[in-house]
Amino acid sequence: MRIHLTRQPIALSLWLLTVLFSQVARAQTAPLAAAPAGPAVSFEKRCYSCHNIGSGNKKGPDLNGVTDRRTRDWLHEYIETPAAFYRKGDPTAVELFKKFAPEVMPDQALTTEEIDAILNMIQALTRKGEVYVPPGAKLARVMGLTDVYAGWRLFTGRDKLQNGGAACISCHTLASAGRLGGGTLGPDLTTANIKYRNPELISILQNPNFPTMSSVFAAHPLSDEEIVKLFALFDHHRRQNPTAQAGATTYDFKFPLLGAITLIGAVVGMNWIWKNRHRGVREEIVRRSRI
Amino acid sequence: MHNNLLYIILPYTAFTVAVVFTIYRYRKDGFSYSSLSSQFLESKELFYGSVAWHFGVIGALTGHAIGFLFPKSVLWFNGVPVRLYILETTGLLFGLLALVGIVSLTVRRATSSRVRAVTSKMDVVVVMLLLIQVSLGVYIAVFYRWGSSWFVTSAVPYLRSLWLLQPDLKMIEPLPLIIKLHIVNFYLLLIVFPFSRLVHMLVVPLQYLWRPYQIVIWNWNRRRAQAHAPQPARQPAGVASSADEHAAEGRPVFTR
Repeated sequence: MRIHLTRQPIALSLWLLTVLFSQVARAQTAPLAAAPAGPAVSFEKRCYSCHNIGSGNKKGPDLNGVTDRRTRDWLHEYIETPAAFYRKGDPTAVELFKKFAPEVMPDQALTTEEIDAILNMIQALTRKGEVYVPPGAKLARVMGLTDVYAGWRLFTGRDKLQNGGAACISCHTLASAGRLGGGTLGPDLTTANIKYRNPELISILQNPNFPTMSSVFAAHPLSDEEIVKLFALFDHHRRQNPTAQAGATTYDFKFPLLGAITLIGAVVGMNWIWKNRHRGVREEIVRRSRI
Repeated sequence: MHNNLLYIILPYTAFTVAVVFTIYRYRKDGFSYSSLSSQFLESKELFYGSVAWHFGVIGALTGHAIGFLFPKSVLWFNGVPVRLYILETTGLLFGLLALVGIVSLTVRRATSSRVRAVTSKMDVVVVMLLLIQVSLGVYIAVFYRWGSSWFVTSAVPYLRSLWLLQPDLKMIEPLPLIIKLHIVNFYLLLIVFPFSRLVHMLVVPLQYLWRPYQIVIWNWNRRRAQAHAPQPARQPAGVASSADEHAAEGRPVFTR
């Protein structure tokens, strides 16, 4: 059947959409399977940014004893698709989402075996009354005197991140970030080392598994050297103000104020550029038209 | 599932409708490619509306296009905080100009009976969508800064994945709702594009930039016209009440 563009736009649109979606469907490939890792490493990479085992709540709940509180089936289903579980109206999921809002746990692409291994580890630690300590959360070397400044250069983007990640300032601010501060899409990191203990913070820098960051940094991880420098920077801010309240942040109105000033300048400029516009002529037309 | 609907099915549908119906309308009814100027009816408020709006929106759209086309260059440019601040302030200025413009134009359209008389339902839809889009954009620029950097790392990979027919939502799924609304509202604007006055952006009369001024005036003598006026011609739509009044007094009526 021949489709005439000028006669059947709806038919043409439908045909184009069919072609587009068939291409899209073909391109959707299964995600690459990650290399199998032990449960301690999987937990560190995938869960530790938001969950502790035995040392208190973070962005998500402490998982100590979770295998006793919930059934294995429930845990499997929840870990794979937390948001879908919530939408289904599961009372426990609803309660958890409410308690830890606005954080929403992303779906985890873990295999059934990986989830089971992690749950076994949680169960074992709970039975022994032990706290999870991430095996890899150590700095590659001892921090030096110049690392704070080097970390600040990395944070503000003056030095590029080795693997092509965006500078921290794009989304985060810091007391020393600059005159207009850093970004506000993510949290203020001035108190990062107060909010998170040393191994937690190092682990986050190694595997920033927060929903917004994991997708951006999965392909551009920080190098060991960069982690040392950035950690030194956050450690420096903690030493500067050890009593600061974790997570406390106030919005700095310098930027919108600057925007408002430039706007006034632009409007004044517009009037100046077009100062000879024909006000009088049109006023006369409008007046006459009202006879 | 609703993510697939909003960020995969909707954008492809919007893009297809925009392209197909834009071409269709041009071939079928090319002379309708116009913004249907209402400047003749009023000019004071229009100056602050139209000039601010067009500079603002062209600047803001160009900024988004540069981020989409040259992501690495934008990140390189933002590598020095002063440059990042200059770029962001410029972007915010364009956003605020567009906001001042669209608010001013909306108020004018709502309050001026002459402009309202020539306003179609589609004009109302377009103005509302633009008002929402620009307000969201300015809100994002102010409260989720620095957009010029994270747009490149979070939104551009998604937009590029759509372009390459391999949609990948993992970058935008965790973004705040306001940013997602800005994206979805853009797709809605794309859908209404070919059916509205927005098509005028494809036929920008660039030669006007070099053309000398034209002064348009009504070259008739009101009193003489009144004296010799026959019965008034047909009444213009939407100004019937004043036209009736004039007709009753035997005065000439503004006709189209």
